[in-house]
Amino acid sequence: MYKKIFYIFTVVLLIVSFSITSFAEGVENQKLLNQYTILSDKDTSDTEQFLVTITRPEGDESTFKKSYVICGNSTKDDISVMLLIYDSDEKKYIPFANTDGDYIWDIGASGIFMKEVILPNKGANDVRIIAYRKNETDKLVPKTNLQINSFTVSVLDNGIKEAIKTGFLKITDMLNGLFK
Amino acid sequence: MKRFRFERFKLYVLIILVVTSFIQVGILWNYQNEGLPTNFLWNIFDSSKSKVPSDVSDYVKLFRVTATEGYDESHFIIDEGNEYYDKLCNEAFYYLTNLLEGKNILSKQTYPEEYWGEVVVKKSFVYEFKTKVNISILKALLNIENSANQEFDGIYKMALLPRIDSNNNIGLYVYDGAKTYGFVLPFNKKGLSREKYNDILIELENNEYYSYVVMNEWMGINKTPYRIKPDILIPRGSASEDFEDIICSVPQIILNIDTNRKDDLEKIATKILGNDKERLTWGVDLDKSIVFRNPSKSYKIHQDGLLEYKYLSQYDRADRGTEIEALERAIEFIAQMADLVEGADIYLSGINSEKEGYYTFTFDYKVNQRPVSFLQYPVNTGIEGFVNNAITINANKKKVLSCYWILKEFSIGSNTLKIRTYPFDLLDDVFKKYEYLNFSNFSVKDVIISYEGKYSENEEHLRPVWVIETIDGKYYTVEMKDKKGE
Repeated sequence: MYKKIFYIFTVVLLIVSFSITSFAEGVENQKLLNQYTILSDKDTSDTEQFLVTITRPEGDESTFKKSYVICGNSTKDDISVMLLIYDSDEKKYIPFANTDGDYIWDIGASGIFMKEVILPNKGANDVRIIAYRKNETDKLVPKTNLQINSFTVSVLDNGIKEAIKTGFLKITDMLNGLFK
Repeated sequence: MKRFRFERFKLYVLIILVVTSFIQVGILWNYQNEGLPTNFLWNIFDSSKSKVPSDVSDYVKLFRVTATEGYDESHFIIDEGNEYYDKLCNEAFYYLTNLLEGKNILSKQTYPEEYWGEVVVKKSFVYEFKTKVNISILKALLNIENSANQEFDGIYKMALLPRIDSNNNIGLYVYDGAKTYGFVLPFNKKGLSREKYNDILIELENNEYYSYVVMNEWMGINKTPYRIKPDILIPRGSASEDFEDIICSVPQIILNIDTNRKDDLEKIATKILGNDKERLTWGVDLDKSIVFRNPSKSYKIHQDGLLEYKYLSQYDRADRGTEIEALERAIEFIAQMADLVEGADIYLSGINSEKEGYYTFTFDYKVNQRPVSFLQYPVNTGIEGFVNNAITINANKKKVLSCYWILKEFSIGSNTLKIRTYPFDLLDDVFKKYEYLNFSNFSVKDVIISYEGKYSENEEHLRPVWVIETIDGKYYTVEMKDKKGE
């Protein structure tokens, strides 16, 4: 009987301890956003890409698919990346989780990251990619150990794509007719 | 009179001795050289000797055909079962034949390698060999007698761009692994029209096949910490694919052999050596491998199905010949035993022309269009410690000098594997698995999904893996995960 209770107690203890870790991580991340309001502030200016080179989006981009992959790379060690999206109701940038459920991730040994997100809005999606040295979170300073870059990724209607295609085909058909 | 008879008898004996000595010399010559002057003796006695018909096109095949609408659009793999596959290949070979014969070329231009990355993200149909195929081999493949001079000496990949201009022309781009060559040719009047190419693309999109993306479309050309070739395709999103349960085993004929029974040994000798068996002795080695040999050749069949062939005599370096001549010898060798490999296609996967006196050709298997890789496969004999391909052959224009051939047969099991083709952690996983990798010793030449064949004397269920090939010819594999909840 005691044995059984002991086992149950151990299992409960393990579950609780794991939950605490993940909860703590979430709290830590949220603390970072609370501590540095510049991260979520719409008026914060972009910095140079000195920690991470963001290869996608390259600037403001348009796409026809809601599934979008954010990519970048870094040759530096211990870099974390945070992804935010602008919320017009809250009038600030809020966490934007990728399809793995994370909005903060570390750049691994390959130096390259690719993260898939589902863009929530038809039309403009204002995303912000933040990179920082993860062991210097006590004092993050833009342009020193904190990189901030904002982009607009617009999801276009598939009708536009069809119109472009049809339009192009019509023009080429017309030209073919003219020069036959 | 008696003396005359005795002299005549001596003359007959002398004639018999001379004739038999010629035959003996012939046999020895044949062992050593397989060439002049006495092959005719074997040809007379061995009327059944006939080569297994083999054709370059049976083994030099396209590795992959893909299509895309253009930048930021999905790339689709057009498999051999697709109704348009043959038509698209015929079209590509039609334009390639015209190009090699120097016919109907309206314009041409040479670009650096990086331009290939731009070509494959335009509206295009891309045709890939697994290795750069020399023009002499292409001529044999396409039955071209006379070819015009070209700036390139072989083709690794090529692309058809049906919308190269507003006239009725098509773009043909050739990539030889180092440079990109662009050509404009008129549309084939009897072939697929521009509209038909459009229709095929629309159909591919509508059918929702698994889609892929060019890695550099996301990573940017020359923006990564290490070199990534400009046309690496990876699955587009966090999808999963159904994979067949491929079962790999040692061919039954080898598996069932009783090395104590002469009949069994004769059976395998007939299968492996054909008519050559008459001239070889056989035995069983300490490791239970079966050995056939004569003074110039040695065949060894190991328990795991590995066939090891060696030409034991000296070979003349002047007999190197051209790539196609040596390839033909390699293909004749393979064709002789190809029916031992059941359930798989054999395709040319590599050519090394840097060796003095011979060429090295590698071939691999595809089972139901999925490649099967044998990487770091131990051979433990000779100079090589391992091989990376199902077949590795050294050959010159006259003969095959050595061969390692992992003889296996394949069947499909009843299970379906649901595998996550999530590519986003792939590079991190490679660096995690191979800790010695860093930015300076890593690069990406190709990424494919392949079944992984391993050393085994037993039946094995193969699993798909990511195979990353680097520019300096190294291979790294990463396990693919099962789809969660399946």
